[in-house]
Amino acid sequence: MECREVRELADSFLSEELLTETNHEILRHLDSCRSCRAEIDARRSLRASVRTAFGRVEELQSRPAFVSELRATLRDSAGVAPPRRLSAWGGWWAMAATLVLAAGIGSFWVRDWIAMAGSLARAAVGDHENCALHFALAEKPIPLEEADAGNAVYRLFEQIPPSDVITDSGPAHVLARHVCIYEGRTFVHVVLSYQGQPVSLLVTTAGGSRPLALQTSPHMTAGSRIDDMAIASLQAPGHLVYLVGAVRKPI
Amino acid sequence: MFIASPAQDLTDEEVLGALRTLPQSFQEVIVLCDIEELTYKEIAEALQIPVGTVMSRLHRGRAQLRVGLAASTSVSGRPGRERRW
Repeated sequence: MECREVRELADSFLSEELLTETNHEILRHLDSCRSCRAEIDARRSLRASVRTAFGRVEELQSRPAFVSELRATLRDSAGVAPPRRLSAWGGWWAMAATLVLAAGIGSFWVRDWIAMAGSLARAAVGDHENCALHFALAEKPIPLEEADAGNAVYRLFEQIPPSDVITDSGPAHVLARHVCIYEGRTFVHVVLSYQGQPVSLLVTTAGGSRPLALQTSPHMTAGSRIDDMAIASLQAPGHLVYLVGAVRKPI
Repeated sequence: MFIASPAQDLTDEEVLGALRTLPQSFQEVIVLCDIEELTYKEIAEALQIPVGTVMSRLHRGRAQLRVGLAASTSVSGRPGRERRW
């Protein structure tokens, strides 16, 4: 095996993702190549540094059950093949629901993914608090059907999520769908009731001109907490989607 | 191709700071792989992307992370090293 091949496979080697035979080839190469050994050591060291940095910051600690729950969800969803057109939204909802709803909003305590420290996430939490909890917005929210005016995203959220959402840990019910403005940012805001608490689904533009489309898979970005609020974030073309609710400390 | 190697005595702030500068799509695969220790297949299913995309994002993300860390440690006056791929 050549040095270039070893370095191409180095990350997979360290992640133990390679076939046994390939691992043996790499190990044989490393026996005789000091340069590649150093390269592997550098990558291993970088991973250790990332792990250590996360491990030392208290607020970045994950709830121990997080990964096992995520794996269970993946196993469950692997056995279900939803229609293609719905799969993206279904996948989104399944993941968000698992992380925030099905995982139990009261015990939701996942690693504070660093991407979530941004101002948009804070604005989403602020809108949830001021609109869904305290009814203290400077401008009165406009019902989605009134705000529609041909806006495809507004129209999308007139129907999605459905009025009643069944999760593994109980039902969630839509209380309101509207457009509201918080600190100058416009949100599509769907308020749900879940286990007696309001949960907000918030959608806002994130730059770019590509429309939000169901058939385009959004990326789960993060589970996090800001100001005692649990927040799950998903990135879709041109838009960011947040699910925000109250947080309690894990048991 | 040259890629820098960061100094060995990185602080937590330097590591997390460099990670924050990566595109979110790179951050999430690195966290899922290196912190949560999910397999490539599990990451692909969670993010609804092909396994090959997971691998390429990990590769590019880690490379950018090394470059960023080497730059930050260099700026802070501590020696980084340059390495030839």
